[in-house]
Amino acid sequence: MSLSLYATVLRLARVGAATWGISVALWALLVFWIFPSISSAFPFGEYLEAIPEEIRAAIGLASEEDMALVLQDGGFTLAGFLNTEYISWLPLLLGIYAVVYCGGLVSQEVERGTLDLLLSQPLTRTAFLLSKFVGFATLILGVAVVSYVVVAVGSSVIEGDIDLRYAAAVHLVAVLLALAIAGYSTLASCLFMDPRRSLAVAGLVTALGYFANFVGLSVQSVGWFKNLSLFYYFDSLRLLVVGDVNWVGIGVYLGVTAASLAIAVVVFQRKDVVR
Amino acid sequence: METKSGIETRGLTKFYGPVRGIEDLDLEVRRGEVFGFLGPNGSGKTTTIRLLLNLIQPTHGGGSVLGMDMVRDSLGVRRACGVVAGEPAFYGSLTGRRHMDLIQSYHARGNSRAAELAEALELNLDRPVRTYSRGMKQKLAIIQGMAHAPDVLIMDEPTLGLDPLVQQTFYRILAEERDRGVTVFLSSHILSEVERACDRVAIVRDGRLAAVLDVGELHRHLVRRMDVTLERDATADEFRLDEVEVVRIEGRHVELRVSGHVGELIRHLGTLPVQDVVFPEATLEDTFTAFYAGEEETS
Repeated sequence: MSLSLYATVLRLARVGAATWGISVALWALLVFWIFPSISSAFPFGEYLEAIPEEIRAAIGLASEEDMALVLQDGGFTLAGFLNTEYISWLPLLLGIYAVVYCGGLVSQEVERGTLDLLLSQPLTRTAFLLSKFVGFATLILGVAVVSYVVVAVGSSVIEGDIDLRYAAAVHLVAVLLALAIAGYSTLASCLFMDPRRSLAVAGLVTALGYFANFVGLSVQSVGWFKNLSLFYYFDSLRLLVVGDVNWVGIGVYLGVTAASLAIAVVVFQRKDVVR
Repeated sequence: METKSGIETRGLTKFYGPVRGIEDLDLEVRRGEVFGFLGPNGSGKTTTIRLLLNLIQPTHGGGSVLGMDMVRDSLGVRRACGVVAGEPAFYGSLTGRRHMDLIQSYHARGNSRAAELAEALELNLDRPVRTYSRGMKQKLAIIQGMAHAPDVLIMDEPTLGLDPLVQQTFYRILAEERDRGVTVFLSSHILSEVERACDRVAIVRDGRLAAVLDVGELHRHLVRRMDVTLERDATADEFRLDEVEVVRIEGRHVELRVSGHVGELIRHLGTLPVQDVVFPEATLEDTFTAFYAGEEETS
């Protein structure tokens, strides 16, 4: 790990991360802004009942028990609304950032020629990779903190039913999911050493994962699809509303991150750096 | 045990798939010498440098820098080296100084000479690199390669993009490095640069080592073109001299190819009604053509 490279990563990416953080925060603010007017005016309970069961399953509201977690008196609770309209999308928001940043973690440096500059110094490839990855982890954590602050402020203003400990936990798990996506995106970056190919592959894997979860939840005959998706293990509803932590999911995220990084290090050690 | 070699390669070979980068390179650069690595573009110069820095892995063979294996002890090699790239790349949004702080953080004597070098090369380190011209980026590359006072300097076309005045400053700095005992490996396709700055020269072509020469020996192989315009029509007979070949005659204009020493030719021109003479620098292509013609005749 190189502290000077880590600091440089933060310096170089601060504008992009701030823009991403502001965008995420605006989305969260919008949800809090529309909740008071829409919750009383719109019969969400009836709406959800009318949705085909398969589609409800795909958005994590398969059972009566799930419905009870988000509804109260025929309308959404704040936690239910926030989860449906914002928190359940958070992995995708953070995941896209992970793909874009880590898909080019090595390959963009190759294309720019800056990898030559850095690896001509007494800096190991492992230190290079880890410094950049830890830098990314800091940035994504920063974006999640911004999101959490908006949620905390929003829920205190509206005086909703959100437990801030659970809100913190759901953000943390979303970060872990994003890090797992970042892990295989980094691996793609090391495998291809070409930003276009690595971004395409990392993006495709993420999109397929999201699709596999959706299909696996809604079509029983291919229910096993969902187990292949990282998104399946992000049970934000139960975590945000009742504080149920999916430890298997956390283990999967940590395992995918660690395994991807370990393979990425081995692959990167053997790669020629050719501009 | 201290080795006498600054840089050594044995059978160093790199193929990119079927494409030869460099093949069977045996070189020995002595400690404290300025060693030129001369060849046209695509001849394997950059590949050799990338191999020495372990940016790419050799297909066969190996090498060492100051006795340290270039693959097994790559970190030690890079600790001992300062590297100047010919097409340097930097982060556009960072200033020159930020780059210096980043790069020099990896060296024990980091930045010890940065201010002095920046002043000599007249580079403002406080501007973002995206506002730098090509020449300014090359100056930054030179400063970051030398600022930590390395024991070995590896330079790949270091004067690309520098204007002639800055090139003079660079050669002066390089001479100071030689006086300090630094081993310099200077890759170039510019004959005059190698002739001026180096003690010995290796010539590479098509990924193979063609020759290793002292600079004096190289000078004898240099081939230059000369365009002479007389005040009257010229004839081939009046340019029949040793080491001079008449390439073309058109009325008053004569194109000559001159190798080795030019003293006799210049004295001879003084006896002719010369209106104009154009005598550009020797080109690598002409010298190679003559060099290989000589090799073939010998064999």
